[in-house]
Amino acid sequence: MKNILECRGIGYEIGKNVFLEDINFTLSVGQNVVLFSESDQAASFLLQICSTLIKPTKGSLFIEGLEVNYDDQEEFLNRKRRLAFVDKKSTLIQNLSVLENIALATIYHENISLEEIQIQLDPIIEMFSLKNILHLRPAVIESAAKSRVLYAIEAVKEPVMAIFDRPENDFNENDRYYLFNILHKLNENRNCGFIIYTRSRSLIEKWADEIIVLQDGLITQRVDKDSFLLSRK
Amino acid sequence: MIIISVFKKFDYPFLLSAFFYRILKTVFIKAGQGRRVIRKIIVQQIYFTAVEVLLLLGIIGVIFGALVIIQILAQLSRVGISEALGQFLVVIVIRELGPLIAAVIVILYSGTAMATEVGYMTVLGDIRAITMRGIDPIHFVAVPRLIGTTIAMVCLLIYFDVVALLGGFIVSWLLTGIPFYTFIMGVAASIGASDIIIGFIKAIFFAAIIVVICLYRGFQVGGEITRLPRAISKSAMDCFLGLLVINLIISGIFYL
Repeated sequence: MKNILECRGIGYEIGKNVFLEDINFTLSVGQNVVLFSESDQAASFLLQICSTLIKPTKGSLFIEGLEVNYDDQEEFLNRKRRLAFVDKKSTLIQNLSVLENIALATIYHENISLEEIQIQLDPIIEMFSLKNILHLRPAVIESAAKSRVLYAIEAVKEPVMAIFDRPENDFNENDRYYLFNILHKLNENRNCGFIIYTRSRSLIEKWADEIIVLQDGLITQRVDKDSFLLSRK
Repeated sequence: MIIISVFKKFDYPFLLSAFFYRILKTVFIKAGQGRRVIRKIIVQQIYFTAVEVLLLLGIIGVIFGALVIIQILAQLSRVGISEALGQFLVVIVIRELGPLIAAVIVILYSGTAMATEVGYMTVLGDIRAITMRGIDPIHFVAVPRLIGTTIAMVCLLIYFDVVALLGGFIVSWLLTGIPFYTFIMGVAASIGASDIIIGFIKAIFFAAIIVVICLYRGFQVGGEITRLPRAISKSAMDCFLGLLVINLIISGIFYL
């Protein structure tokens, strides 16, 4: 199977604090990898490195077979268009409405009007129950709705890779199905790879193909879902 | 070490120049990209910088023109001076202080708002959100503000000159009884095409310096909200100093 992502000897340190050390793994098309870590910080850094938001202090990162060049701004922006990424720091653009936030990337890159794009966006708007808040600014909507908008923005993309940081925290129990909606939407054509950092057992049960266990900045285990769940009973 | 630290103290103009170069490069490299969105932000910027200050700038212009005439009449004999009033107004308002005052209004109203907005955008994560959509923040944030403010600045300069002349005429007419035709002929005789062109050159440079400084200071806020108030006050002070220096250079080149 074709590799989307390959980490080769990735390390990340700030001053004397070592957060990641010699991380090696690959992500293939259609593969759902769950990251399990005791340290939120280490996992968060690894996800940000995989999404090319931060540069590792050691090692190399390959996306679709090509080594990431951190100095090329155009390449960086093109990669972002093909990547779904939501973490704790993800936000909406404050001076745009919900609809404009969702449509911005398409309007900008394809030069089409908001009216034209709205028809294409209707299924996503429906999927995330956003109809009533479409014309509101982010400042006036509640946090659960903000999370739905953040995931709707990613659902509009056709990414090769989706990276989510503790997505279970973005949705309460009743809203959890929205998360599975986006996972299924992105996985429609089975040409997207997933890396999800989670501690949610239900998410692991329903979604993971493989679990990567991160401990003290090192990958200590790579196991399949059943073995992992059995060991954590 | 000493040389490096001394250089670091004076690197600000170089950093601003590099930032300006990056904006200009983006204007040409990404021309046509995201046309609809960029056009919308340019229009919003023109509206915010020019249209919203029209009344305020109109009042200031009239008062300013009137004050200039009052001072001229206070210093010189009223007899035989009326024909030269237009000439004085052209020299003081159109050549020198008009562009400067219009630019100061733009700093106070639009420049500080720009620094605040961009500062907040970096603090609240908007810049990151823009990048995550595959959009260059320089193209999305800086380019439309530079174009919009430049257009607005040129329009405001013309508007300010007109209302200042009007204010000057009203006071001249009240104090000396000069007819409108005589006054306007005095202005027309004193004003040359070069004055108008130099005015436009000043307006363009002023707009560029205001936008570059305010955006640079805004982007520099990073993730720390406590740096925002200092960034705003510094941007206003730097802009004012920049305006004076640019004004001095342009006037020196063209009028000496």
